[in-house]
Amino acid sequence: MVYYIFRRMLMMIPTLVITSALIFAIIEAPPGDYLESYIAELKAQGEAVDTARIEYLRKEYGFDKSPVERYFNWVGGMFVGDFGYSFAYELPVTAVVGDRLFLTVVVSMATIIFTWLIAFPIGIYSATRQYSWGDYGFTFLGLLGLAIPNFLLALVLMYLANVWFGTSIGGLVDPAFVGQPMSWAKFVSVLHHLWIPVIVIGTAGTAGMIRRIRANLLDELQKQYVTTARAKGLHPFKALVKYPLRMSLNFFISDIGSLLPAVISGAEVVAIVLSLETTGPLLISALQQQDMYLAGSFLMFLSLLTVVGVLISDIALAWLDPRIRLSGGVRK
Amino acid sequence: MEEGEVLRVNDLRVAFDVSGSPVEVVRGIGFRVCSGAVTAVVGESGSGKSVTAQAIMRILPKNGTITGGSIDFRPKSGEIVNMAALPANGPKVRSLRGSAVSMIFQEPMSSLSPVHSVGDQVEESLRIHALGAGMSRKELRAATEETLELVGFPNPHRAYDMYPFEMSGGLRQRAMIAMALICRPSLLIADEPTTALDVTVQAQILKLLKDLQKKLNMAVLLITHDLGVVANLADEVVVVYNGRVVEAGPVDEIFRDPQHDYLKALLNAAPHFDMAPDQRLVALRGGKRSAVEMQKHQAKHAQPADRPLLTVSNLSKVYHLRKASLFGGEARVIRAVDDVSFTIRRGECLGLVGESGSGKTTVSKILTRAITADSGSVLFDDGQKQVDVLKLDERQLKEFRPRLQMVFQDPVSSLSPRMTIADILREPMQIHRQGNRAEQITRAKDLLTSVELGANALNRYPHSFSGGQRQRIGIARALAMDPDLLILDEPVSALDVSVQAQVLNLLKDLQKEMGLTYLFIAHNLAVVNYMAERVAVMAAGRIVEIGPSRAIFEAPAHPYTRALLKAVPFADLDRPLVLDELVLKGSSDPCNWPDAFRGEMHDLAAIELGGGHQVLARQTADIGEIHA
Repeated sequence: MVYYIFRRMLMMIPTLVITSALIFAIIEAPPGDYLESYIAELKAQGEAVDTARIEYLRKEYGFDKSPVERYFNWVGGMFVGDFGYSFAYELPVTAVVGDRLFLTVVVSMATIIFTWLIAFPIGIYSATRQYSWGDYGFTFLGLLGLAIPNFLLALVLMYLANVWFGTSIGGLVDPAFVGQPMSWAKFVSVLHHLWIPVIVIGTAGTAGMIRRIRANLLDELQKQYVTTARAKGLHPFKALVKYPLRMSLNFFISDIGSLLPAVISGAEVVAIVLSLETTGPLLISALQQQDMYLAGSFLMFLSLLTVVGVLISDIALAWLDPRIRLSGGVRK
Repeated sequence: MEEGEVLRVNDLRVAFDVSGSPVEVVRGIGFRVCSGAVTAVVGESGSGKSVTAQAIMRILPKNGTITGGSIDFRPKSGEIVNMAALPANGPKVRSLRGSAVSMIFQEPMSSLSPVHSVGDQVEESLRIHALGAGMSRKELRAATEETLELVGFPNPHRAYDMYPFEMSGGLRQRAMIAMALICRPSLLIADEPTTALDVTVQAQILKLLKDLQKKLNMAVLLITHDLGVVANLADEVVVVYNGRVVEAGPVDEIFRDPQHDYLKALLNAAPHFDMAPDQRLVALRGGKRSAVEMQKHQAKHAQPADRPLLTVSNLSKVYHLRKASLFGGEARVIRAVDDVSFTIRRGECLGLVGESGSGKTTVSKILTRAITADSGSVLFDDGQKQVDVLKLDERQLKEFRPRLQMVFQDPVSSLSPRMTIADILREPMQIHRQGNRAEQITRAKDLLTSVELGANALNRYPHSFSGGQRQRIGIARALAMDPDLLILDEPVSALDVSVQAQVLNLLKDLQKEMGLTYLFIAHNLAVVNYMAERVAVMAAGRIVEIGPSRAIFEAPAHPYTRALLKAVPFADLDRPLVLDELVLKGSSDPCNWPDAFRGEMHDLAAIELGGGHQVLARQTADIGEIHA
């Protein structure tokens, strides 16, 4: 097991190297750099361009060097915790992202838990009572959730929240707390605002997950070992949890791999509509403004999370399923 | 209910809800099971025998309900309960299920959960019933290991922590039996307990069931389609057909003096070893078939008869397995096919016999180029010249394909459910650009007639046909290209006895009329005996014995062939199974063979016993030693 994890970690290195090169190449691909768009912006506003300052910046951030050199500077910096400098915010990348990361994680974790809490009972109910009225009803609601665009639902809920509860529109905290250090009152305010993004982001995911749990469980319920469990005299509910439900979890665990990166990014459109202080909108604006180190480091972080997430779900699968743990594949 | 009866089923009726309307599948079945005796319920698929068993356990599928009758059951302690009158998942039924009455199923592969250890699953029965209440973990484990030992696990302590997929089919079925017996039930229901197993393993499990039944003085309800199993195990027999009992009585009367036509037909439909060379099977249903003139390519059949059609020499295929786990562990080598050589003469049927894992299917896949052999050659004589099938390139292979066609085991999954029969039959012609649409349709009609199906089948889909009809469509598809050689991979093992007889007769007729050559792969020795002129026996990737059917079946030389023949249960009360040591130890494992037959391939040679009968043994071994 230890050897396996070690080997998998080793395999992550070339993956990440290739990803970083790709990310850098794509960000470099459009003509110009941040300084050029900065100069163009200043000129457009009729302001004087401080050539000396531009030259200084150009030297400082290595725009005079070749792309290959800059790539290695960037990658090398990451090993010592230096992710580069955000031009737009005039702050180190870590400082820009750090603030928003916490709120993003809060929103995403709440969404994931919301999804699981709703999807599991409904999925199990739908599978065990296939083609009942309840099943049809939940299927209808689920399809509705899948079909309604997230941003639309966001707008509607935002309006309703304001009309019914008087919660301020948008954001994750009451405007009074913006920029304030964390306190109990601020935390309560976050909770007040949290439910809208959680529901909005969660609906589509919940609906999809209900369908998948239902389909997987239905497959398993047909299997002979379920009959065996019943023939033993096991209580139907206990039999359901111990055998088919456990077997249908494999898909769910493989999902965890894609969950980690989704915790940090994801739901950008909703975040913009609701003006959430999360990392999603940050990434989009960084890409628009050619704020390359911010965008690049952010994307790198996402790919690292993806690779780690896949590793975690693979290990979890092997731990849960003895077939994966104990039987090797055939080499042709 | 009389004294001594454990179970009495009276006028049982079960209906299934099929898209809103009830369909009665059990229409008044009644029988009894006495304590310490075996009652067998015999019938073909769809007769309602398995549904009856499920009804007794009250584990019918959701859309099935008991609509009438009673199921009186007498547990060891307590009074008689009518299982049919209780709620299916209520506490009373649950407390009896798995403890007083328990069940084993056909598929040992899928009947056990793959992600729970065997010990956990066997022990569970004990934990949920009164017998195991108050037992400590250690006591539970001890009791479980004791039962595992009872059903013949060589190392119960190790088996407890193993997972089902780490075990062979036979061991899995033993685990199932342990699970059913751990609470020492007064009634055991065995639903086709040996159907999915190899014949030697079947013999072991039958012996085990019989021994345990005597030892624990259980009543057993045996559900099966195999009259050979019935003859060896049952005391009383109930024959069901179409949801009704057509004949019932003590086993002696059933076999020696069958009354009902259905039972008589059933007894005649299965091939057996004592058939005269030209004797035909009597199919239960299906009419006479009229011979159809099939268009033949003239050139193909004007060929020298002395050269074999197919010459296979020194075929080998090795698989590298990573044993233990994906977390490391050393590589293991499996010789799926180990230096296999044989020939098939034009117009003959060569039977290839072996148990699962013996390599017979791998051989057929190599012949069709579905997998690549590591070494060896396959020479095919197309009339003018010999072609090495394994060396053909893409284009040549496409040209060659029509010569060699295949019929598969599973008639359900080998036909695409989304294609009409016309499309299925025309597909090979379209691939090889033979004829226009009208010609292809005409040909398809001819093909259907030749397999005794009407032309009205053309526009229907496979799901509207029965298993036997589907298999005939599969045969028609294989004939579409007018092949020389047909590889038949277990073509009848998924079919009922009566349908099996029909398909076997059809294959024989087609062979005669069209001059076909067959490679007939099967595990059922009686079927091979009926079909094949020569037989090759495979074990552990090697052909251990080859020769004329008569010689193989009457004077088998190899210990494996002998064990195989001894393990076949006969539908004849005068020939009970007598199992020797080799069968019980596991005859497919070369380690259990006598010295003269063991060793690496280069130490062994095919020793001629006369008349083309060859056996694989040590070159130094003399004939006397082999015949010993």
